[in-house]
Amino acid sequence: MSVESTAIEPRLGRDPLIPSAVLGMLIFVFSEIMMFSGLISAVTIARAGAAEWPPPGQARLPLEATAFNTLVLLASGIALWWAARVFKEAPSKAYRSLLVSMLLGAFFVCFQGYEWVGLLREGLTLTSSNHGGFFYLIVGAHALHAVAGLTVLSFAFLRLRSRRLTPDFLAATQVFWFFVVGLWPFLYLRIYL
Amino acid sequence: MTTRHLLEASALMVLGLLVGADASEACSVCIDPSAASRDAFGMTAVVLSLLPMALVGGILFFLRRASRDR
Amino acid sequence: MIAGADDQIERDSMSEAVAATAHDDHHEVGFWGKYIFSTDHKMIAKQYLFTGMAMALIGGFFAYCFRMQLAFPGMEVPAYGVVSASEYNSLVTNHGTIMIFWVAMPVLIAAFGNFLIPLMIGADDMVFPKINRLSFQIFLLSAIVLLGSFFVEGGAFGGAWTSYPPLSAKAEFSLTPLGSTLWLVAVALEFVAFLLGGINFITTAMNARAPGMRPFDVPAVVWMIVIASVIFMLSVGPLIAGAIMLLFDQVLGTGFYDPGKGGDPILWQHMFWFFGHPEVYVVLLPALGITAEIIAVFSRKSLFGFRLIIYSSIGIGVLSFVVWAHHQFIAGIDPRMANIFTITTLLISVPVAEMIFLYIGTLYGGSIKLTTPMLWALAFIAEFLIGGVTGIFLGDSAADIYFHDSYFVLAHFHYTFFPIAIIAVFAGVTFWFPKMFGRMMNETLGKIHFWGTVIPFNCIFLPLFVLGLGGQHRRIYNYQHFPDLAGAEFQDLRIFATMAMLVMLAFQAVFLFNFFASLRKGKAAGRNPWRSNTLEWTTESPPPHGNFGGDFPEVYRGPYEYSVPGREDDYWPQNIPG
Repeated sequence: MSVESTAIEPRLGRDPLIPSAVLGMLIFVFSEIMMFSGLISAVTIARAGAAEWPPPGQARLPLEATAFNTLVLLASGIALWWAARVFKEAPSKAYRSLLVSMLLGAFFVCFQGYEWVGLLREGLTLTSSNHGGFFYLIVGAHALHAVAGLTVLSFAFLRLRSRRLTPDFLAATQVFWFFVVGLWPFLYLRIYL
Repeated sequence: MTTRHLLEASALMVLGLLVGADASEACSVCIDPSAASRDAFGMTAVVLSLLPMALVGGILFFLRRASRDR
Repeated sequence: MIAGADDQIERDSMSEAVAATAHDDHHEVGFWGKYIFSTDHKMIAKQYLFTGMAMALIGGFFAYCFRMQLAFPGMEVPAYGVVSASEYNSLVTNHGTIMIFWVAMPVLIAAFGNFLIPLMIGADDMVFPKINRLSFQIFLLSAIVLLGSFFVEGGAFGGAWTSYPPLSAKAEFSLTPLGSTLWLVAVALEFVAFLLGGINFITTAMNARAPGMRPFDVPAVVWMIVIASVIFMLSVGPLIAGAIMLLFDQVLGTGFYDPGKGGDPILWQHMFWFFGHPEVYVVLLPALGITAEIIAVFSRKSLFGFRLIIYSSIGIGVLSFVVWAHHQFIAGIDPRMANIFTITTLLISVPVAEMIFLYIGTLYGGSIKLTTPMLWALAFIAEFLIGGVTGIFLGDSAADIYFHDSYFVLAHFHYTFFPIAIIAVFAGVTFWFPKMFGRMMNETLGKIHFWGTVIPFNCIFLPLFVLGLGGQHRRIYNYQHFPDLAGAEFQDLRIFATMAMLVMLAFQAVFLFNFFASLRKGKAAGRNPWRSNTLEWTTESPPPHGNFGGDFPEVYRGPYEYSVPGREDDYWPQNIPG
């Protein structure tokens, strides 16, 4: 197939400014951004309506540990950015930074899970108060996206290994992972602080 | 009408809205939530309404720049 | 989207291979591959169209049941039986839900978008065909889930299509423990389906246009479907967030909307209407686009102010994000917010009115041919105008205190939604039927159906304005329980409206007969029966797989060059050079 496709030149006027895969991913990410801003609006309104936040008798969220974890996630984003930069020059050299990005992302997810276990033990559950409800809902939604992002990253990694990774695929992966990374500081500000 | 007139008129209108709102609170169906909660609704309404325009505006800006570079 | 990127790569190489070999190795696909699991945008469009038509019949049947109950309370409704109070609520709720989410959206956006976008921009298919197929499959599943909710214990959800908590949040209030959850799941699935569809529409229109096709060579209907998709993609997020929270309240016992647990029921309205109002423009814009195409073709004139029409629809798109709180004027929102939303609501009628004027300007001095599609398009303008004008009163926060939740509101939005979801759809179906199926529809039957639909439509909803101003509240099972509303002067109007509805429903049989008879025995259409300019008319009817038979068009001019002076033909297809 690919041999045939190089045989004819791309037709005039079909040389898009943004590749289709990237554009599609961008539109998807936009609607995700709107969904999360809906959730953030909800928690903002709930906080404003409450007399005391977090409600008395509820476990406090681990601020410092999560701040460290935030930095880990940001580092993962930077590693992916670096990987994409290297990929442009020499695709085979992007191997290591892509792996670093994946491992840092996986560390973030695992560390979040570890924190959840601690919070559940301290009695913060989905139904214990709206504080807990919003925490698990929003952070859980982000964690799902992080897991999805890691899956996409590992696809990209496997393709890179078998030399089938296209620039468009990597760019689309980047858009999604940058969304996951870039969203987290906002969630940290609105939910933890 | 000059731009200045237009600006003055809009400034007056916004001022009137903010002052006149107190009078319209006399309505029989309006409940009285706390000021903080009210402001939160207002703030999130502004953010939610303007965010889509910022997102689309960003993409259009990028496209414009990219097509000019080409 | 991972599949998307994959899809894209595979498709790129495929389409180029197809272009190179020009179809000589086209293999036959079986029944399942052709009709059920097709990735062809035309087949997916037809799947959406037929599903939407079937759902419209179901929604219409619901309307018949509850209108009969209102006109003749307690009567045994033929083909249904006695409508109980809870059944009445379920019927009203699901009538609204089905007509908006399972008729207007799939037919106007998904069916016409899928059919028209690739054909009108000269592409062989959507950019992500497999995502397109997935979109329809999820949509079908959502329809099944919604209809299935009628057969679970407690019956279907009856808390109105807006699903306000606390009524919708707790089974002890709604009395439909499973029904309300299934309703939410169905709506959420439907949104996922249209998210996938919208990604396709926008990407295809941006990246797959024919060579030489500049932005203003793209026909108005494609522009408007794309703008509508953008509005949808950007407004649906908060509602999905709100729906997940409502689902948690229903199933897991959280209290996001429960004041007793520190929640806020207004929060749902905040998130619901952030989507709910842009949704109106999501379905309005494709309807305006369809009528623009038809009016230009049958006036044999260039669309008057084409660029201004596009700019106005972009203006509508921008403004549609800042009008939504007018649904909550009496919900106890901040009066400062109410003031501002009054102004923006009145403002958005400016671009809409401007577009109507431009359409009338197109008609002025044209050689108008009153074919069936043209009649529908003209009726759309006339009827939608009534809906728009009555909306001005509701958009005013002071007047709305008295109009809110009355039949005036109901009549107003039926005067907007009926033209959008029914009249414009009939306009589009009758206009593109020759291209979709290769045969002409019968004009006489079409005109009988037209008058048999539009006259009863006015007879149904004009009395409801009067009832609303008389103080008749919405969503009431039996008005005989209210002494103020039980009088004969009101009841006669209700009976009149119901009778008109029966007439209108009866005339739909004419359409169904015409549709299916023309499908089999209609006159062959040829490539361009309406002598239109846009690219979809340059290929065979119905278009083959790959749309243009390997011979892709190039574009040399705008889509509305009709009656150009000094030219022999009164039309000038976009792909003809010179």
